[in-house]
Amino acid sequence: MADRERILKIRDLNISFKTDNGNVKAIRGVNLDLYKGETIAIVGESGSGKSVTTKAIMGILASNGKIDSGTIDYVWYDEYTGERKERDIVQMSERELQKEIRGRKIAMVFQDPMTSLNPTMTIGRQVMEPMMYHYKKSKQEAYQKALELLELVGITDAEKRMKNYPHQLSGGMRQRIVIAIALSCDPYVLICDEPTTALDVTIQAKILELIQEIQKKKNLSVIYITHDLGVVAKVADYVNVMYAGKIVETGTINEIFYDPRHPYTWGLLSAMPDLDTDDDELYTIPGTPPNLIYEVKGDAFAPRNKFALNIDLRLDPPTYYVPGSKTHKVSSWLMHENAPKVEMPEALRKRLDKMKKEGV
Amino acid sequence: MEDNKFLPNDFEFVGDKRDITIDEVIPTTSAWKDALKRFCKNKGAVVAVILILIIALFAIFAPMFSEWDYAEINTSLKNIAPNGEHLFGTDSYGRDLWTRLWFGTRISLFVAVAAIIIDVVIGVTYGLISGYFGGKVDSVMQRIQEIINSIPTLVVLIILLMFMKPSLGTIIIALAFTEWIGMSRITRAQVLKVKEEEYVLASRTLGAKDFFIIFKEILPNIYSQMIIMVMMSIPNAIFYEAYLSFIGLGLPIPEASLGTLINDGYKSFLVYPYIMLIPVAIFSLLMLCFNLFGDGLRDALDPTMKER
Amino acid sequence: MNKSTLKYIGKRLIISAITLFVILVVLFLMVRFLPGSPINNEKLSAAQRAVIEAKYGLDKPLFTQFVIYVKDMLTGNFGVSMNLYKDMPVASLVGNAAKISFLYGLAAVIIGTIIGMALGVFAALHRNSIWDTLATALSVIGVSIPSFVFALLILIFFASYLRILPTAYSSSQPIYSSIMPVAALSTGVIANVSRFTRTEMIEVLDSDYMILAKAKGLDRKTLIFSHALRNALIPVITILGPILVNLMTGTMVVELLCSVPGLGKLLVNSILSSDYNIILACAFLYAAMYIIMMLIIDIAYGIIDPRIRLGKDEG
Repeated sequence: MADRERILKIRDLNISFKTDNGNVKAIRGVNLDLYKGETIAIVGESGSGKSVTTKAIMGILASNGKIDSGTIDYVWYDEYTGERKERDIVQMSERELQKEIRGRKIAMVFQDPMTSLNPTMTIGRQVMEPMMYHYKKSKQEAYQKALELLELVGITDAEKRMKNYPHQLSGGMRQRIVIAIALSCDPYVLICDEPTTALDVTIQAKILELIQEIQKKKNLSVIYITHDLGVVAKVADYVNVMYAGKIVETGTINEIFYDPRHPYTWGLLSAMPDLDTDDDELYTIPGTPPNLIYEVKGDAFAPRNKFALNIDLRLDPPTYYVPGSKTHKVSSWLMHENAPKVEMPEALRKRLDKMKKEGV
Repeated sequence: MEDNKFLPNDFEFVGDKRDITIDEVIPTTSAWKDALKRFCKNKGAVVAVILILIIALFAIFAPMFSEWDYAEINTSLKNIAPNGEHLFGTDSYGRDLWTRLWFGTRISLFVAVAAIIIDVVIGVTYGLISGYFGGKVDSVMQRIQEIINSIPTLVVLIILLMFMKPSLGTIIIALAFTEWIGMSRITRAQVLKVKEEEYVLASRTLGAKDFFIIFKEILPNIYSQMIIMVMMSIPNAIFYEAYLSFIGLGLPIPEASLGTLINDGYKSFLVYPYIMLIPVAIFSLLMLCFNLFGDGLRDALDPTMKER
Repeated sequence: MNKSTLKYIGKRLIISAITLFVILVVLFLMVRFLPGSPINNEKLSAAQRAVIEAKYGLDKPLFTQFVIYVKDMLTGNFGVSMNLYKDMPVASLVGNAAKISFLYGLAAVIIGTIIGMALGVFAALHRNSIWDTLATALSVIGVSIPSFVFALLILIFFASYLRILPTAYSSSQPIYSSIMPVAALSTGVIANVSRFTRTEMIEVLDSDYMILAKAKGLDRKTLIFSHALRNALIPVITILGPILVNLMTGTMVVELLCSVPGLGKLLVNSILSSDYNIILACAFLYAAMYIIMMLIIDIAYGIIDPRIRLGKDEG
């Protein structure tokens, strides 16, 4: 554990969006750590701010978005001198971000491969472009590397595919291309924004395995954004549960799956479908996420929380370490010493025990 | 840190006094109300509607209340600049331009509306038959339409105007003849779409006749598209009427329409610019307003339809 | 080019040919049967009529006349003018006029498309700024108000009021005297193209693939020039059809207003003087140009845009 190297450290990140209806506080004090070679997952309902957080890391927020406060410290070693550098991405200029970070240090795989490739540019050019742009590679070099990349992501007939246009490929193939593009400049961090949601179930597992394999080969750090806890269980080392622009619970995969503490995490886990559920119907979390145009008073989850305390309506809970763990943190008043003891619902308990036994 | 601020009941459950299972209810409004609301948000379109109404009111009533006749020639009164008696002056025949202008606007609007009504009837019927019955009927009708459509409007108009003597009726028929294709295309596309919907299938299995299905199930679903199309066609019709009258193929003398007025004014615009500029202004305003109105309607009725 | 593309082009060619033939038949019949044509003049005596009919070959059966007309037409002979320019060959009259009109139209399309695209891209890149609002407002006005009104206004302002541009075409100064009519014709093209380009460009800028391209770390210039522009500008080809129609109607009036000896002016004059051979040739030429242009636009779009596979959406 001692030689884990932190390459990304987000502290108290606040982001808001200007819209016609008012200012939306999309991210409210997010803390996040990413270590070299490890995988973290950010889970939450749509609109909880998962994608916004990662877009902020890459500096590609929509034009109406603004980072109000916070830091995103990124650590890397200079390619030539090997010197250790640490910079706050929030403070970097657009030009620095574009030249240093995007594509080169941090790359991203997007949700929908059907729309994320340029329809009028050949696959080859799209894969070669970043290398030629960032590293001034010659066309021949870039072509060679692109071929290798396409083979790495499991595309047969790579030479032929280089000349194809996106519409000539299937969804799974396109996602492989998007991954190849992301890998083209040898980034240290790969952000995968729901990389499998838009794909067929049969392809999903293959793409996940591919990403894992490449991660091992290249010692990448990966951030997964997903609402699919099945994906999380399969790939992540650490899990961050996000709700209404805040991370409400974070911990190792075992801590989150076998010892969840936040009522929202309970809800998410209960809502996860599995093959042998005994319950007649799938659990859903009542209500809808709050509209972040309005100032949130107290705990944003309180209105949907069966276990809400009076203080939840008044004050935002601080973050507590779960006793006995250095990694498991929860933002909930239930963790306060004065709070009544609350256990997770019986049905969930049983389910998690069973999962543990089966070693999922 | 905040421990001293805790209230005594802070760590008690809120309990189930609250009804948390109910989702936030979004009040539902009818589609038309929704569209109206969206339309009213578009300021340009609202202003355009108001202007169109004002122009239409003037076109209807101004000639009635004018003491001058639109066609009465009085050479002793020719080319008078705008004044209190002749608000917009008089032309080279001594006709009062205020009266003539509004009378001409009335004719232009009438031509446009009449042409559009005819073209809706033809277009919708054609589209309905072609789309609903499909098969051979459809492909023959589509080929015919393709051929007509690939003749430029201008050539069609000229051919028709040569066959028939220039008159109000001729222009209306000529315009209707060239404008119906767009309408029939939209109708056909909608029919093809709606035909496959569950509810049409449902009513067919219940034994509904073709006629019934067309009128009860299909037509109500293509209203909004039709309205958009009509609103887009009106400025087109106004334009072609003015255009034909301007190049001398339109209404015969002494009739007045915006096109003939502009044409009259053009003959002497160096000396009496007001004779031409006033009808040009009204004509331009009408075109602009109908376009804005049409755009607004399209955005309001069919938010998915892109600006093209 | 694959099989379905060729099949589609073939189908389009056949339909175009049929259409042209239908138009020709209709125009031909119209010329022969129209009241007021020189042959149907009541003032003529039977003998005079016979002379004229023999001269123009009108004494033969209708079908034979048509065959002769088509045969002549294929060799470039469209008959002679009956009234307007007595006995001048229609082919050369129409040919000379068409040359000027075609050049005007071409100039207006090229100038208008370039300026329109630039304006549209500019507005899209500065979305919601004052420039965007201004460009949008101007293009709405330009789209709504037909080119003949612009021609009138430009004529009054530049030619009559400022007196810096000639009001009429002159063969001694063909370029200088063409500035005004071409400018008038271009306004509509600029407005249509810029409005369309803006919408397309905004859609492209918001697209997923632009976000991906940005995530690759490309600079703004590369993003816009190598990723956005191509995708935003290709669809502009689709509105060249409607623009062409606008231009055809536009040229007619603009030519009348500026005394340009073009096809539009010739057509209007021949209509006013009932010179049916010229009308027939002009109308046929208009239709043929339109049909050929539409065909070219369709095929060009299929070749330029890799996404479009021609013939995909038949029927």
